[in-house]
Amino acid sequence: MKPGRLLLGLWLLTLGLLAYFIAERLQISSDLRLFMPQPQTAAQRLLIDEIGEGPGSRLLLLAIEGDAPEALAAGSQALLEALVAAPQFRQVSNGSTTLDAFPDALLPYRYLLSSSFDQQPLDADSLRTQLQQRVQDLNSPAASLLKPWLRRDPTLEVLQLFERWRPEHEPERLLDVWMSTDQTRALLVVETRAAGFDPKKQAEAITSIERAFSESRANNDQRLIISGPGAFANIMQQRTAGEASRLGLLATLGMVVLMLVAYRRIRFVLLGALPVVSAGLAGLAAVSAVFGDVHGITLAFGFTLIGVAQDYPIHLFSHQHRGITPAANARALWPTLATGVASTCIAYLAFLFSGVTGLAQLACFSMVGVAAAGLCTRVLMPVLLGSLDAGAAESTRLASVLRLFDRLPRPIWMLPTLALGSVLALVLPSAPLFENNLAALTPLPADMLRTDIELRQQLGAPDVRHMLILRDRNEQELLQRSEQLIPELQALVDAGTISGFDLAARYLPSVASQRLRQSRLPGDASARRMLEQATQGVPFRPGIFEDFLLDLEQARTAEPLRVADLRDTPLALRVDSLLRLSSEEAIGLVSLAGVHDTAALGAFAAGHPGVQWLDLKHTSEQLVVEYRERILLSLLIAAVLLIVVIALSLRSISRVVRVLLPMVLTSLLVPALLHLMGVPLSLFHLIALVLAAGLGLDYALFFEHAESDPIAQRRTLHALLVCAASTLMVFALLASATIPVLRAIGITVSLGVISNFVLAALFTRRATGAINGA
Amino acid sequence: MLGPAAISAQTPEQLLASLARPAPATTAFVEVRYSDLLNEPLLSRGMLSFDAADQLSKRVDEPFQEFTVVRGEAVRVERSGRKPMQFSLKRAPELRALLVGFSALLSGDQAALRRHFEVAVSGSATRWQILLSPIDARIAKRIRSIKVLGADAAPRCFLVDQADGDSSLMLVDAAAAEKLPDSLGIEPVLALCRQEAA
Repeated sequence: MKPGRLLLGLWLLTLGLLAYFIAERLQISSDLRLFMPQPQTAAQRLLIDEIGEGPGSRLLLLAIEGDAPEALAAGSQALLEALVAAPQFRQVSNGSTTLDAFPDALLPYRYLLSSSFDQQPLDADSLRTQLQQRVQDLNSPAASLLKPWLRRDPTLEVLQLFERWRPEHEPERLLDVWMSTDQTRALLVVETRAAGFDPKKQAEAITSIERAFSESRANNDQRLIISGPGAFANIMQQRTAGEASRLGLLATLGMVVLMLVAYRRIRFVLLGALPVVSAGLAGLAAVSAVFGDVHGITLAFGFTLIGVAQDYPIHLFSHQHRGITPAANARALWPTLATGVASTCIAYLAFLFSGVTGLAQLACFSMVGVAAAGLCTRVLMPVLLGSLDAGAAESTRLASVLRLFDRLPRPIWMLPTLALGSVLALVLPSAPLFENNLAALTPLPADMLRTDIELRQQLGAPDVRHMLILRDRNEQELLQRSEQLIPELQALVDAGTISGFDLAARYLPSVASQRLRQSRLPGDASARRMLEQATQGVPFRPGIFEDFLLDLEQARTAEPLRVADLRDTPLALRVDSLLRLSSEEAIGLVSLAGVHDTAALGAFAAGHPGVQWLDLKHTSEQLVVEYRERILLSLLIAAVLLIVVIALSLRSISRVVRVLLPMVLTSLLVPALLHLMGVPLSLFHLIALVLAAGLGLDYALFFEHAESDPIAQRRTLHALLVCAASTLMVFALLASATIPVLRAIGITVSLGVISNFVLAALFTRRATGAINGA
Repeated sequence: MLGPAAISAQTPEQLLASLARPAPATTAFVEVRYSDLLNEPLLSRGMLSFDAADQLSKRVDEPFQEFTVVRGEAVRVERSGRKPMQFSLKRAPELRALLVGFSALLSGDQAALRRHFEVAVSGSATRWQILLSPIDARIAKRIRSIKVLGADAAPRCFLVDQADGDSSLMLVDAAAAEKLPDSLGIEPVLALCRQEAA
């Protein structure tokens, strides 16, 4: 067996094993927190938790539109009925909470949850007043609603609790269901059992909502909008997958055509794919071995970033000619190629230590992938090439291109002008230079975010910017302190500082309060006496209130309710969203509505130890700024390392300057161009810039390495033209994507490739005939 | 007013047509309510207005004050000293039945009436009775029937029999002004509706 066959066999076997390992291990995650910076402060931690696992992340906001308000209300009700039975949801609400929603087992607890009898205890007099009102109720049109409750709950305590629990800023209701103010949308909220970033389960939940809607809707004009983190994850996954596979197919076709045009042999096309495939498999295997979960974004970007490996075999192919064995060719190119591989790895090293898991994954993927591709090009390619000759440099057209390049002016003055212009443009205060909005880090289209914000406003969700945080050692101490705060918060409302507030103790009183209420409830015998006195002169038939007496006795003797007892009740939705309990501490959130006076709010928080005022917008912006600073610092360190590697490899200051010049200038020019176009720079632009820098370095290294011999120069030019054209094609395709992140990367890298290539061709490359290195 | 000669000639359609009253129409009412929770009937008085095809209001003056408006599908009940209560007709099928029956009768819309109820007419032109049995199963679960008792071209009483055994008897128009029997038991009051001597 020829050594080439053996080596290829071994290589393919290794790839097969890697593929098997990946198929066994690979877990794709879509938890966006992987792409968010590590929280440093308690407030930041809360923010990140909220994004990831908080009940907020499980909520899906639904809206039905496209019909008359009455029909929308009916549609809302029909959808609710269809979803209530579905196993995927913990809660489904459309505003039409009826008393029946209160779980039967909790009903006796109404006397412990309600503050109705705190001022005036339940006695014969107050009960008689209530009973007299019930007689009137029986005579009113509401009788049929209330009658089923009267025997068990003659004071209508459940109704009172529902009234009290009603959120301050609830959406308007039409025909019992939530409706937008302009009555064009019926609104619903569902809470999934699955976490917000469990894409598979979220997709199941969304499918079941869509199915229920299409089965329950009265006419086909009605449309359903689904929003919320789970819906976003789902839509993004679909759109990214769809778009990525479409663009991937186009890019592959383009690459095949380009390689055929450049090398005119199908074998080069097949061989040229081997390093990239090796890079992808090796990178993926490394990430799943090191991290376990691989984020979907890592996967999508990773394959984009290792596209640089496509250039490695191209250099080899273009330099292959009859006068040299493939092995000698590879050996001759290796120092330049290795410098390129090493510098790319160093650039990604910056991300490895950025403190962001997703970026570290991306770095691991790219470094391992690029190294594998380099190895493949150095070791496997020469053996496989055999006697193949591209004859790339023999084209006469190429010769004329080379002559054209030689004739082009090389205005040195352009360099400082470009650098200065870029710096000036960057410091120009025309638009924000950086994107500080945390939401912009999530790769979501703006219109989806806008709909989400609209729905949140229509649903009267509380102020998403300001909240107060209470900390205590455990659940009960926290609830007690919350109860003490309620009158003070009410004072803030009365003073106009805020227009409303919500906290867990409004729904679930502390055990101490419940015990106090128990001690004031009448015992069995005295309850019966009280009822007898109260019914005197009221025309209720005797003996009908036995269930009421039973509930009273159960309320008086039951174990008070704690947070854990609320599971799967309508109350859990509210309480869970306002409490964070762990074994070490209990955190309570006070959500605020309509914050009018932040100074007074700050003073209030400062005056209450253990109460912290959280400005989520400020916190998230601060987080992004710190994040970016960390990444920029990593990039700076990487740049220094890069210069050291290049200097060690080239050992000449003038050569180092020539090689680094295009990359440095491009890294100024591209952000300046983006800034002038009014694009705020985000994390994704920075990643793309690093990729462009790596490409630029490669171009410069090869241009610089080229010998003065015109044929050798032609080979280098051929290789670099093919490299730049293929990269430009792939990223121009990305720039046409509808997903903002892909578009950002596409535009940035495309600009970077053009700038790098032109600058390297003009200023790094020496004209034909110039003596190499002398 | 129809003479005795027309008695046998009158069809249910003619009777229903003769009952139509253009909105707005207003009448005093007296309501007697019988419930298994109560040991005596409840009596209330007030005004009932049929304001428009989809709007009905009921004002109670005695023994307490209460004002109810049903507009389209929405019900609003106001009582002095208490927060107004709002709910949809969906949650109060008996109210819907009453409303549909009322407005179909008053607007002369027999088709609507027959869409929601089986209609049976009995008696004579001077003393007739229309029995409305709901067709919709959801309504039927709450309401057994509505009886409209009348004389000549005017209804006198509406009797709503609920499925749970409760019932309400509402005297309108001329009947509302007549003296109630000493006993408010359902039979004596029905006798008054039928203009029989108690």
